[in-house]
Amino acid sequence: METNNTKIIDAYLSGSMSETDKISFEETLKGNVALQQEVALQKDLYEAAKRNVTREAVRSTAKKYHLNQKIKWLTTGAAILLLTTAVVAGIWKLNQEESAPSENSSPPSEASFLDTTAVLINDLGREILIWEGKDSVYLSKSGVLLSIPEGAFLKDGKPYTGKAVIEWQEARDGATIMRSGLSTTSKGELLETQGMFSFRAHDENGNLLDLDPEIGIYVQVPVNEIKPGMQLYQGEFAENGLINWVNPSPLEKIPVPVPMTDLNFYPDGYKDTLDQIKLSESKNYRDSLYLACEFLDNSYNPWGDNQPDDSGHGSHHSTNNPDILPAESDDLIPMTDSTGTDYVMPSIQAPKTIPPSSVLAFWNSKFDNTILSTREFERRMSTIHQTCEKKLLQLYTTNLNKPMWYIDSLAMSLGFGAFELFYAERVGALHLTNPHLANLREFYAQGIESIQKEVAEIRAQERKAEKEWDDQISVSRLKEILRETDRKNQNFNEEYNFNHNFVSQQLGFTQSFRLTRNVIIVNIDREVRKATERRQTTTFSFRGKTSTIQYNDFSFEVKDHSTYKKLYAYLLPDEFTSYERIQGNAGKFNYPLNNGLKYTVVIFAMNEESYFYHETGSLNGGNLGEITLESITNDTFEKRIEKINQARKSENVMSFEDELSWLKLEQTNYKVQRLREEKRAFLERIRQVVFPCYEGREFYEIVYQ
Amino acid sequence: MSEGERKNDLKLLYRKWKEFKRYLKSIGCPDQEVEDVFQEALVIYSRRREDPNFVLTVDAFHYVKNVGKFLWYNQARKRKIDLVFDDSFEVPETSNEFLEKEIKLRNVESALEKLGAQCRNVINSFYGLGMSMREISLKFGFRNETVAKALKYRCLQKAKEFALQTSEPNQNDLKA
Repeated sequence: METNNTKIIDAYLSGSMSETDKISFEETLKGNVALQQEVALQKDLYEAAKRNVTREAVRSTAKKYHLNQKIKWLTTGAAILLLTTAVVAGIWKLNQEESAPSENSSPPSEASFLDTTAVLINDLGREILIWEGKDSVYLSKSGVLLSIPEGAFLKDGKPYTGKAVIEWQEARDGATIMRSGLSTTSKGELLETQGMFSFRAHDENGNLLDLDPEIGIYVQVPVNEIKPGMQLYQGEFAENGLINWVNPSPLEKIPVPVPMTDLNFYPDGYKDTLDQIKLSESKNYRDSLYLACEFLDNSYNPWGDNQPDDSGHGSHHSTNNPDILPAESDDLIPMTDSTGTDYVMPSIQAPKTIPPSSVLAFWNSKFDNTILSTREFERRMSTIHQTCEKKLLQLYTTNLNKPMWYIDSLAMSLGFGAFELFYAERVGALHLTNPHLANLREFYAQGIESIQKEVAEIRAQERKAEKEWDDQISVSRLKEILRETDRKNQNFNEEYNFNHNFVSQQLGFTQSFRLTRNVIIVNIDREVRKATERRQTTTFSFRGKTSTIQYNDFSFEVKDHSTYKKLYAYLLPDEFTSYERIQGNAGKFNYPLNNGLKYTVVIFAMNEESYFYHETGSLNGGNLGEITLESITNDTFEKRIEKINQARKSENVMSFEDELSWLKLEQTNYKVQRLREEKRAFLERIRQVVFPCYEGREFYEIVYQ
Repeated sequence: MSEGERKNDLKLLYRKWKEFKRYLKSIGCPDQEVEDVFQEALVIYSRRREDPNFVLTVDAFHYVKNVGKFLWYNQARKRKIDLVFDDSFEVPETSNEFLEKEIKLRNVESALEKLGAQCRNVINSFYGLGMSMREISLKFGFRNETVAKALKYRCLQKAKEFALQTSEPNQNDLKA
């Protein structure tokens, strides 16, 4: 199946093919079953894409449905849940003037208030709460939460610190509203309601208390559904006794700060993945691994080291809102190929990610008590990870003093529909002093920079160490190549001389003859050289005499060869000072041996931890069959080689020391490279968890193959 | 059916999720698979409604319930699970061929789902939503249409390879 086919089929199916091409293609199609199947499959894929769009709509519906169900569950949960996680319809500050009936209504007198039959709204039950003068939280019978802080009340314009008696009434369902004769109209227009409430506070003597408008109280109402656009209205009693709802004001939920240590800002799946593979649960370790996934500038390099990360490309939305930082450049990325030619790559190919440094820079106690240290932001962060858009995170980190719903609206304006639900929650701001915010903003920016610098330094050190090691291996291999060349030369020369002497003696050449009959000698030399090079049995004739250099087949096979990472075989001729390494294939070795020599074959293998060995002496041919290697220590190996060398007839035999050092280095390098590869693969795996939009290095290589 | 109508339709049907769950469990579908079946049934229902010749003569939920039943029986039969039969097998106004074709397409669709988000976005936007390459390159931030188009072909190629790997229907037929 070829890419070119895909394009042609696409043109055919989309009807963009010329009539001539179409006829020709259909002719080809008739006789090609495989192509017919490919066309059918591609057609099915188009239909499947439509299906997948429908599925997305179903999934989105499911998500919304379950979210609503979850909200219902939360709102019927314990008080602490309501306080920290429930989604609320409203939060507002009430003061006595606002909640008291107007002059035209029938306000209960202060005296009548002490009479428990006097209520704010007729036919509606009330709850009495006692406030002790300090920060207190109450939960009404239906689950409405009231938070009344110290200093919330004023008496005669001064802060009131004594006990207070609070009357609370609520009508939250249609039946109660109708039974109490309450209306849901505003200037004659019908309103949709999620509840009506009345609040009044008295001192111990029954005097009405005012609410300090600077402090207010916090009311959190659990609802089954968050309805966008719900507002807080103030009730006014009209002459006919009905309530008219006036002065609408937006609702807002106060985010509750929790310590940063209690929050989780990792991308979904990161923690679970690490748990599954039973990696350390220490936050330091997990932070460090998360950070290791970061693509630093110039570090994303499926094609080389000069590829910067994408840094916020990808949105076509533009905005003049000063709270939205301008998107970073999505221009082309300058690259240089191996010939030094400059070219450009579109930045789209680099992965979109939320850089771990930009998460870890705020995930610390310095940012406690900001909108970032809230469960509300924790949920938003999870969604931000899914979008892979760094600029969304920047919206929240650069607007710490703004209400969260406002920042949610900025996210929506950038085209991220997922933030509509967040916006509907109307989560407000956490007010901190401006200098503090300014410091935090600066701290955040510096934090990212310092974390990235640290990562860059660590990576530079790693790269340097890797390069040094690789250089050492390269040098060692180069030396081995030179050594091998020398060894081969020396071995060849020794064998050539050996053969030449042998032939000369057989044919009766003398030293003087060779000098005076130059032409003949040259010819014999050439033939001996050829025979030695080819390792072929060759017969020489001269003036009725004959001589034969004989090469015998020699072979063996190493049992379980694939279990070894490296496998080498050496031939050590007894007569020579040199030795030779011979090449095998899939554990099988074939190498003709000179009949006039005796050899020792040494087979050596290794894996990451061990050496394996075999030796057989006095050989000049034959098939050794399948050889089983024995495990051997490094010391024993060296001793055996030494012993073989000592037994060789020639003096000054070539040392095996350099070869051994090289073999050991190769063994270590195997482990180093394996660990390096494992680390890379592991990081790649984790990256695909922490960066949902990252397709994996392989994908980028496929696209730019 | 407009996009808005479809969303509303799905929203109303999803409210019957618990009823569907009870029903499917009553005919032997394991708890953890019910929602996959439900969503698959909703996909099929939604696609059926797109056919201008299709006339729904029964309650929409009744239709979805019966498609769900068909899907579960089909799945159980393949996995040789003992079935709990109820009165009828019929899916009103829908041929078995249509449903079989949908199951086949589900397998092809799962190949699309194996693609990365970027690939899926491009293919779904072009073939699923009918967006132009220009709109796609603007929406997803490609530098130009050529880049988007090159990506589209490569993604399509990859999807075909995935589809061939999973050409036989399996127990993931219903997995969402």
